[in-house]
Amino acid sequence: MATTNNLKAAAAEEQAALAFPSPMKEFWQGFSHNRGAVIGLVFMTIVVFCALFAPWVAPYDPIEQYREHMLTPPAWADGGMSQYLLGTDELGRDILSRLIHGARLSLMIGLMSVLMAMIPGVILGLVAAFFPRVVGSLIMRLMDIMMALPSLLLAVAIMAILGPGLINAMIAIAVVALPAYVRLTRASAMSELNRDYVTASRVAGAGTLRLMFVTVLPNCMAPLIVHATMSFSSAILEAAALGFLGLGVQPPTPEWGTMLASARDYIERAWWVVTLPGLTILLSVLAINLMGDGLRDALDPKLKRAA
Amino acid sequence: MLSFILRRLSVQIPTFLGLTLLTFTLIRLIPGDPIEVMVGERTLDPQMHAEAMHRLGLDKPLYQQYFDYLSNLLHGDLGLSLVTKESVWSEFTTLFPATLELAIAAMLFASVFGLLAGVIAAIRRGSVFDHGVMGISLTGFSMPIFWWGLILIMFFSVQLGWTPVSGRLDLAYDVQPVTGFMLIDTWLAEAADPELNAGAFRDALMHLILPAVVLGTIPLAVIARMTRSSMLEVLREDYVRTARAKGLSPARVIFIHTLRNALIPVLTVMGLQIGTLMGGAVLTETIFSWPGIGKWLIDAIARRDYPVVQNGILIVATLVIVTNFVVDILYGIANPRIRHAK
Repeated sequence: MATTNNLKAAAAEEQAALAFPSPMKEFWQGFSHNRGAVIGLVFMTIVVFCALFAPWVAPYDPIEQYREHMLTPPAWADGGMSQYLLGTDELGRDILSRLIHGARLSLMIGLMSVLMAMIPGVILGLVAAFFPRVVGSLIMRLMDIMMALPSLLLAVAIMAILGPGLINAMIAIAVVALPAYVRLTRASAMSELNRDYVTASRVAGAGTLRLMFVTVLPNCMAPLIVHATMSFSSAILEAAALGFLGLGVQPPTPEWGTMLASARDYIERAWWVVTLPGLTILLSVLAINLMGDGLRDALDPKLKRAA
Repeated sequence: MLSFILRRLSVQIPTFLGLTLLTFTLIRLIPGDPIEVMVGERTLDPQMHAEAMHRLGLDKPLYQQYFDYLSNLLHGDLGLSLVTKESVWSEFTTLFPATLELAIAAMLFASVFGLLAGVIAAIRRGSVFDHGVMGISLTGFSMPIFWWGLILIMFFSVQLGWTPVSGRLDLAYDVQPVTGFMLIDTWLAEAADPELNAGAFRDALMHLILPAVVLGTIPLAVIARMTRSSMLEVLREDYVRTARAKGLSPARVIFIHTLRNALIPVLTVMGLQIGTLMGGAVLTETIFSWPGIGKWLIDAIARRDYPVVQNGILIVATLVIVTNFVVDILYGIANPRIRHAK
């Protein structure tokens, strides 16, 4: 009896091994093969958790000033206090709470600006690929001009017009990221357009809109998703840079870059005020970039296990 | 060759025109008209307002204003700063050498160490050194460079006292700007008056090191990665195996046969870093109070000095376009396949 069961199980196992793995499983295998990507994912899960539940996770209100404990060092350093784990800043605000609430802002700016760049970028890219003569070359010329400006400089110029603030920072970062999406979508759509399945769909009477969004777009998604991850991390960096220059989110809002803008004055006496916000930015951006590498391994069949 | 250059040049002209259109519109998107911006908080009676509008040609139709703007640009008139009343162009030319010196130093740092690290990582693929280089370069690529600058200042300037905190030269020295490049100017000053200006060159060099390292960090990461992958690709080629089989020394195979061919994509990447350098200069110059173009633009935005913002951005963008154009041409000279491609 037991042997038949074993045989059955072995047969099932064999069948499972022979069958195509489910796309999700295959994706996970590719992704988890990259150890860095998994570490990045774990770190980002923690950051996302902190961002979502910031008011409950953070020990204090991020803008509450404890004047009697100004510039308290982190708990493990000399003179540190256990109730302020990462110390306090020049106004006596708890740095840990500010970093946790800052995660909210950074992730939101990243997410919103990726969406605000990706949606128009994909549409423009598809239009440029489907109508390459007049409209397409016009769009691409415009994108070339935007690419000619160094990205941070363009963002700074836009902020100079719009004025500082959270929404304006998102817009500026999205505008800067737009040309890359247009180019990427156009390039991958152009290479798909010559495929037989597109011709077949066209012959079958599919309209332009259907061809664009139902037939072609899903097949261009892999490079777009990988690029979206990378541009998410650069959006966080740019938002922080704008904040640091005093053009982004305004104080007392606990944005990571804005926290560093005033830190320069404390470089000689309070290393934690300078070090911790930047380290958070670095680790988050690094984690996202590591995830991006893993996504590329898992999604892009051309590069899969190539190197 | 000439037709190749002309073909590439013809693509750049509409880009430049579009750029002028962009900077022209930029200033008109600001809420309120330029006159209100100029007088700032004060109020202006309508009569004077209309007169000022007329004097500056702001009452003309927009397309006319644009053509005036273009014709001024072509005559080399980039307007006056609202704050200093100096011409934007002369302010730019005074400050540009500082940025150029910083950018060259940063690129030098990034190229030397990036190429070296990339080559060694590729030769010792899979070693601890290789993993280290790849890890460090990914970290460098993710680096918020304004924070990196602060950390370096904190460690090397404040803790160790090795390098100065900000500026280009100690105030004790009186160095005449001849070329605008501090290293050359201090060298000349020391040669002219060895007693008064003793140590000026060394001081200028110490001021330059940290900003150059900060600005060069991201290009360094990009160059190291690119060199490594390009080297790995070329090392697989048959002619490399042939060279080895002929019994050539390993150093000759690496540096003559492999690196020269691997360099082509690396050079393109280096050219593309010019934009990154210009953007990074804004942050680096702000941190180190380096009197260059980046700091100039940020200060102009803070002071709402719009002619400087508008045409300063135009100049920098033109510079990036021109550099990319030159890189393109050089690439065409190096690689005939690109020159003859349609």
